[in-house]
Amino acid sequence: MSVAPAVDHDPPTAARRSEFVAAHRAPPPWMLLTLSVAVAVVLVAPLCFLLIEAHGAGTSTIISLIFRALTATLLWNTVRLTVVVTVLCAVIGIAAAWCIERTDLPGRRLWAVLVVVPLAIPDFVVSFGWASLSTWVQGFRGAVLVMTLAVYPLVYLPVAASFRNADPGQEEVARSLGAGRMSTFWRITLGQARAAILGGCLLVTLMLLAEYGAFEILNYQTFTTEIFTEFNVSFNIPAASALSLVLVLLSLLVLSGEGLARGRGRVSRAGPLAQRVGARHRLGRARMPVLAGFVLLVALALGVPVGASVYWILEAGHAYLTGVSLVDAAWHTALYSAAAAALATVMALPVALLAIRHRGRPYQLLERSTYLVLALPGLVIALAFSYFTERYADGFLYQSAPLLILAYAILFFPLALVGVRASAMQAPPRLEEVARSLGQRRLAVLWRVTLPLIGPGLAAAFCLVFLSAVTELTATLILIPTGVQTLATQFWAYQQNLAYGQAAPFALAIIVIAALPSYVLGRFFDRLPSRAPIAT
Amino acid sequence: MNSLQISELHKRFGTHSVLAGLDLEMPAGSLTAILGPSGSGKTTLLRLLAGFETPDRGTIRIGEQLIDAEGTHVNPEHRKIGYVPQEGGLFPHLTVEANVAFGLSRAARRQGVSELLEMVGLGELTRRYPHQLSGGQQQRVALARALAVKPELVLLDEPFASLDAHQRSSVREDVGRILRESSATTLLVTHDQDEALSLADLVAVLRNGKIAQCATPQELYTWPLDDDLARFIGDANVIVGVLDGTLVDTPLGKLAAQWRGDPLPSGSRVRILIRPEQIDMTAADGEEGLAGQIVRSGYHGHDAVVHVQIDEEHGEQRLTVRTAGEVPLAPGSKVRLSARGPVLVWSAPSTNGHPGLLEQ
Repeated sequence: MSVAPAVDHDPPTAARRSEFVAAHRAPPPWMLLTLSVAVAVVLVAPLCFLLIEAHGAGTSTIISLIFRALTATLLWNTVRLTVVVTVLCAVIGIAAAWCIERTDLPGRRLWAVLVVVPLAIPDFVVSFGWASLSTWVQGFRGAVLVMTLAVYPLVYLPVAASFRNADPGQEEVARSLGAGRMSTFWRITLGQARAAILGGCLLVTLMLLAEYGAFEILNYQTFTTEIFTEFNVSFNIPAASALSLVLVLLSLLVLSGEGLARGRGRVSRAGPLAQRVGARHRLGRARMPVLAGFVLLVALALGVPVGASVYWILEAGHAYLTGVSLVDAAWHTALYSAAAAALATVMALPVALLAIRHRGRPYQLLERSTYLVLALPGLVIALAFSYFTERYADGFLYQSAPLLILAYAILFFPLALVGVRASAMQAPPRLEEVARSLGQRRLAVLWRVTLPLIGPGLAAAFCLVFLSAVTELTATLILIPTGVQTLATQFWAYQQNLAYGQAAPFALAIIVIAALPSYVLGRFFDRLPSRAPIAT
Repeated sequence: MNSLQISELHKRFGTHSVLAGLDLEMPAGSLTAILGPSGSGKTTLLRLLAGFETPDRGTIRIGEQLIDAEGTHVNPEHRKIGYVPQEGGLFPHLTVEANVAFGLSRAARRQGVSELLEMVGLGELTRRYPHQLSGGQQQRVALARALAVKPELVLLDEPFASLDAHQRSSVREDVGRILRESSATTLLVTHDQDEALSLADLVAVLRNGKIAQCATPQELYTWPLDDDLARFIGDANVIVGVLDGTLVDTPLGKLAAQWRGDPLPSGSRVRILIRPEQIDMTAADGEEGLAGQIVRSGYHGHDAVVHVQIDEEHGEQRLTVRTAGEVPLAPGSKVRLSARGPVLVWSAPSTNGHPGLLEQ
């Protein structure tokens, strides 16, 4: 489970954009260009490995593996789950965002925190919490319940931000033109948030396509669970790569569909970004039912998984204290995640700078191409790497820490790019030029101006990737160095043996480690819109 | 401070030629304004001077030092040019004090900074951050920062464009005073002619990638090189007439004429610049002067601008008249116009129309 508040970054308006591309006509420095191209190559490598892998199995084999009844079953399972959960997430996310940002709901600040916290809980922990308490939570209905509760914040976050920044004047104008409350909500409020809603739903969909652990626990068969079984249990490489191809195609389809839907129309507000807050809607008699709804949501999404973990620890008593392995696993989790976060942030830097500061199709395309990674589930990346290192690199780096870290960095690169991009916007080249005209050399300018300005954003990108890597399970299971356990893999091992009491402390440790960067992130993205890119 | 010489400066972006052989000389210690419409290449010129861009051709010299020429390009950090971008470009993560001290060595910081901040009148705001300052204050801090490094040349890019009208004039005066006190050689870029005329020692009009004319504000207003320049600086009526010795015969009366260069023979057809304030307007009772009718008028408090449609015998033409005080007459009123010399004349192309016709 990972977090991406707003992959949706509205392009700056023409006027604002121009200040970032002051040197737009000049070709980018070759260092920047080379680094960016190198990053792009690394990012598409897993996709190439996958194609090589499939090609190695023979085209006819692959085709016969794709066109069989199993694929249809998997497709049906995946698609129906994706559609139902995405719709539910959209409804819950939009409703929660509207109530918190636009109404006089009591305790708004508290709810704003509580409804986001489930993001820090990995899907497989939510799944574990529910499944360990009740056998009713199984199969399709279980998957719908668990996944909705686990990923709705991905819709809530961008939509809430969009409601916060939208111009309340537009709603007022609509009302004055004779549109009723409902009509205004449908035509204006939702219209303003459209890009955010689409962005959130896209993330939910991609997350569902990539999820493995939760479905495995719930005995719900999707592409990921089947691919994992083919690869890890049957060692059937051709079947695994054939199904991976279908899964990647499915993700690409979703990605391009979102691009098309977003292409129409643009959300904008005229004039400077005055932070004017419109009058809040009164909930009136609906107040108590809405409050009850929030209590229920938080109880189900947050209370059950945390409660179940605590319950199993208490149940087990002191019999299963796993202190040493817990500390050891936590250390490795933090180590790998931090390394991956640093790597992904460094990789995102040249790509973001190139795209923001140099106008021109090739540079924008280069940046776009890195979003292809979004269509690659962690499982596919891990399989591609492990297959490739075994087959073509003589096992060099196979199941080693560097390979795991690189896989994380690739998998979560788009998240790092969101953060780095946002922060690079804080440092218009004009300021660097001023610094140079004041007698500072390039390196001094980087140190004294650029880095301090983009520092907070880089930290946010780091946190985003760190948080996602801590809660990653699927790729970790495949690429983990021999003899090492992370919190996620150790949890998984205990959980599979139905040793709930031993598994629970690891689940809680993941939540605790993931909660801190989430908090930092929330602060960063909250502050972002109000902070002008340059002092005006 | 030092003088600045630019010669034959060329710069193109792709197929778009922005500067095409620009020449300019600025004496040491002067304040020169580059005036031109948006998109005329003003900012490009500043960026070339600051060293952020490299010219395609041409030379730039500060005093005796060549900073741009064939095979020579001094980096921005070695040019000793103070640059104040639009909206100031203060470093948002640094305090006012740290902004001003940015270009100074540690040793120079102590006294230099507070002295400069006193000079720009912001001595008490040292610990503030840029976002806590008003636009005018930011502008002054940016100026102090540029002056701190004792530059050979100061460049200001539309420094007052982002300020509201109310602030603009006071900040403009302050900045002019500060620059004169520091006796820095300054180049200011603007599209506001009022700003250029009131602030600068020399005004250079940028047109088609070249300096069309560089002169003192007064000279530019009274002696523009051609009628486009006349219209660009202030309002202008351009009519045609025939020279008679040192006088010129116009529908508005016989006026004293002055011109540049070689004497023009009597009987030459000339184009005549008559500024709106050179025209007197009276009610239509008399016989004297050119008859016309008021089309519309704009009241500006200190003066009023009246557009007068001239009667048909002289061709369809409007004249702009500036009168002090109120406009006594409503649109539609008949008026008579006469002009006061001396007026500037340019020799006119010999074709096109008969004498006496007003020219568009």
